[in-house]
Amino acid sequence: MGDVNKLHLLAVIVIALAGVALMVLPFIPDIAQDTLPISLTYDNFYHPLMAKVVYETNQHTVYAPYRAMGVSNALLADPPLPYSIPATVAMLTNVPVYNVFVILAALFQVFLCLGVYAIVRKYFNESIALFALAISAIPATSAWLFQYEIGFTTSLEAFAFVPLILFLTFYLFEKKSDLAAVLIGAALSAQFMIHGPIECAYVYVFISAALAAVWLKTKHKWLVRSWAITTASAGVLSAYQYALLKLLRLTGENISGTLLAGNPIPDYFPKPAISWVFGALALIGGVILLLRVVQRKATKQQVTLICFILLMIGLSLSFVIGVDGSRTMRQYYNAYPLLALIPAAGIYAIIRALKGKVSDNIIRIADIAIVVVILYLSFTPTFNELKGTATGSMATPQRWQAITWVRDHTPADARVFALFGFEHEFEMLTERVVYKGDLGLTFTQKNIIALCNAQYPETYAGQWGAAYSVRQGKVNGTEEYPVHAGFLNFPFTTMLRPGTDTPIPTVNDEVPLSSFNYVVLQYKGTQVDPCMAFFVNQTQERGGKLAWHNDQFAVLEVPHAA
Amino acid sequence: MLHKLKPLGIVAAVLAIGAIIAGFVAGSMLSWLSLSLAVFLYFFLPGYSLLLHLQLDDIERCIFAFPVGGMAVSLVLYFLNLFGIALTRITVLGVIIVVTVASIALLHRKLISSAR
Repeated sequence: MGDVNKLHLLAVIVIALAGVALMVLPFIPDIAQDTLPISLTYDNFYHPLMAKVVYETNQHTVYAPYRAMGVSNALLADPPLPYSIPATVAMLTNVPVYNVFVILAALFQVFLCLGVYAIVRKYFNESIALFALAISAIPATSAWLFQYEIGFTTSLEAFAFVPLILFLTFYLFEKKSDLAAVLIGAALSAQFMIHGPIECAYVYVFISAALAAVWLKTKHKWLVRSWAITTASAGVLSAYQYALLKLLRLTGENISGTLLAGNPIPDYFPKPAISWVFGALALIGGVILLLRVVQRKATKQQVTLICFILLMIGLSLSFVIGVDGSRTMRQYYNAYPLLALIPAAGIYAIIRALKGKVSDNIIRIADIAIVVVILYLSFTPTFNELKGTATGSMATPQRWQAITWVRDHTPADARVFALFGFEHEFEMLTERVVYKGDLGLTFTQKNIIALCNAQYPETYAGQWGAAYSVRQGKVNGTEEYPVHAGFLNFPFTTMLRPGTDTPIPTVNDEVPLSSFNYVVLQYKGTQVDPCMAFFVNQTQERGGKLAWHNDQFAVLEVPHAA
Repeated sequence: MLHKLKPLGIVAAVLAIGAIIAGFVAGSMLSWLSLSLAVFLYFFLPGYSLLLHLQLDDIERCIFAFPVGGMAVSLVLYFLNLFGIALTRITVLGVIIVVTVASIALLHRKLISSAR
């Protein structure tokens, strides 16, 4: 690496290792321990579990039965790479899949920062790149690592391909390369296979526009050819998974929806505070970057990168015009390593203003000193914040007791209805076929309102199909739906409503309580305790049995099954 | 050709140093080393080999080897599994070897033909 300043290279390595340590060590006290990373909240309940299923079954084409309403060979229709990458990496090591999952998520985040570093280093300069790397890999608050902390690792990992895609697009601005075009297509496909269409869609539109803009200016024919190769390779590689996705019967209230679904920003999404120092630096950096663009001093790569950053800022703020806040706000955390360019440019501008008075060597040492200050100020508080997350858990002891009771005391094929008190994906931990009553909140509310009105509903509303419901095989009956005839034609299987020929639908609907073997609910510590108590009492009066309870949760055997 | 692989040695050394440090803090050093080796084989080796075909500097190649290797190996495994080939240690290693060797062989051929 002869062309690289060795001191800077050392700084890059130290920052990268510190970034990995920051994200991994609070959550993995012992790498050999095979424990689910429960403190990383809800999506991480499900994703590592599925990674382990892939690891144990040597395949990523069908779901674990408990994830698919009890169907033993339900096609895996959600993006498979978040499960198969950790599973297959784990096959090369003796480290448990759960830990591999967490460490890989951290590596993706750090390599996202390093990717931005490589772009900024090439198209701006090494100092700005180094500052941006220090700011992004060791953020001043763990709020910037929210995607990782909350368990939105698929979003994080999909976005980690963005620097590669941008870098290769910039490469195509200057050089004809079919390989670069194929790699961009493959990276878009990898994004799609990690987190569905969200990230890859806007990145594809953006790079298409960028290639078109440069083509209009330069008339390089290879740009059109490269775009066609990129589109074709992304299309071919994603075609099968796209077809599966189109077969999905998405359920829940836009929980698996698109950017345009209109969900508000959930209140647990943090709004990272920016100190006045960083704010001032970002202001200086932002003005300088925009001035370069306006004064036409910026290169096409710089303009494209700044435009992408503006796109990300715009996307993050688009909830104000009614676009899905829970999806767009996540792009704000995703884009943080790119946003770090702005204060980094501010720091550089200040140093550059001093350059006339001091030598280059002093400036170089000052670069490193600034990086050391950033690390010193940021590492410990952010590490402690993450450590706090690691020692906490969203699972209270009472809830764990309910989960482990269902898991350990009900038949493996039992159907459990989570009436109230179990969050999104949480049911997975019981390793049972669990029907979600509270993912689609209005359905839960409908159930609860009835109970609060002292009505014992004969039918219950809920999300019966699970989020991904492409199925094949037989359970109680078979109903085939020819979908997309001529391309894919999967036989669907649905479970029949008891005593009827009608299948339980794969969309939200109401079904009789007798469809289930057990109901699990929280009856104390909620705002609707009396309503839950009504259900518990009424169920017992109607022949149901209180199978288990603690001071907050209860599991009831449904009258029919009792 | 061999001098082009030198930066890959530096990546391996950094991974090993990281693993040794982590071994002192969080459990078995051997496990950390084995994970480092797995990450090196799965991400860096195939990714770096593929990126040898592009005119990049060493740092760029080392950094982007991670996502390129990850997507290359995982996408090949994805399609192999769709065609019924089980995801096992042998399959994973086979894919890594094929991607790496094919990439280097193609580059070697290109270099020889351009030298002529």
